[in-house]
Amino acid sequence: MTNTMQRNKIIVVIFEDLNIREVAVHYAAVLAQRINAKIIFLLLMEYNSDSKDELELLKQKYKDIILKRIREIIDNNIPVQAKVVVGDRRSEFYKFMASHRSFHTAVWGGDENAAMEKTGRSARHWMVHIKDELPCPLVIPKKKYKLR
Amino acid sequence: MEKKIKLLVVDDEAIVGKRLKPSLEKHGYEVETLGDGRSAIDRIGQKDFDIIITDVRMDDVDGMQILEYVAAKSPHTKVIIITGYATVELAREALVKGAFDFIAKPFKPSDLRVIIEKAVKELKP
Repeated sequence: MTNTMQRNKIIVVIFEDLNIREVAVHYAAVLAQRINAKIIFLLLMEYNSDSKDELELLKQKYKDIILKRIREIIDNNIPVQAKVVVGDRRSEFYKFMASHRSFHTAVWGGDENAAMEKTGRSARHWMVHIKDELPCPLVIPKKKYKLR
Repeated sequence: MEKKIKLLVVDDEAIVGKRLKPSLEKHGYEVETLGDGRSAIDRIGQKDFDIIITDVRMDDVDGMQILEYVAAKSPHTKVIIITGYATVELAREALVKGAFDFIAKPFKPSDLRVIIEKAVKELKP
């Protein structure tokens, strides 16, 4: 029943590599269950010299890996999607956010310390520069949340 | 001989055009650079470009106005928006108005080249 119910709210969980942070997945799952939302797991990959065709295969492979790993962590009925984009991470993230009407929450699944750097011009990580201007709250989960 | 792809780079920061021109020419593109939106509108009126790379914030005529002009005058031309003031709203506005892509400054030349290559593929019939 849960799967067929309409879920208008979307939570996006952002990863920068295949090192899937369980705390982020758990947090998103608990929140999705509570507010009846769906989750999009977004992997932002930097471009390397792979050709376009190889890149498409790689994106599909990464997508499958993410979904498999997610299902190992949250084995319930929360609807999830995975999306892999390649390019400048900040630009790709803007475009991804712009292509959806709105997000309820963004959950940071990348390096916890990188996104928590002090804001300001000297900050090195792209997320630090944009987290205060996102159209939805950005959560950097630290402790493990339990699913009901 | 294959026809060269014609590119126009519009940015009021001269260094952007100065850096992009040789790097794109090295990859076989024919590149013109301009430092303001008004000159760009004039030039686009005279010449048919395949791809236009434009900054957003410029005095007088900005990148969004260039995008709107190109959409009306030459809809086959792909416009790539570059900006140092990126926001989700700006990305949305650019994409809704028909920009081919959007890239936040600073970016790596290789990231821009990938976007240009994607645009070139779409230009081919």
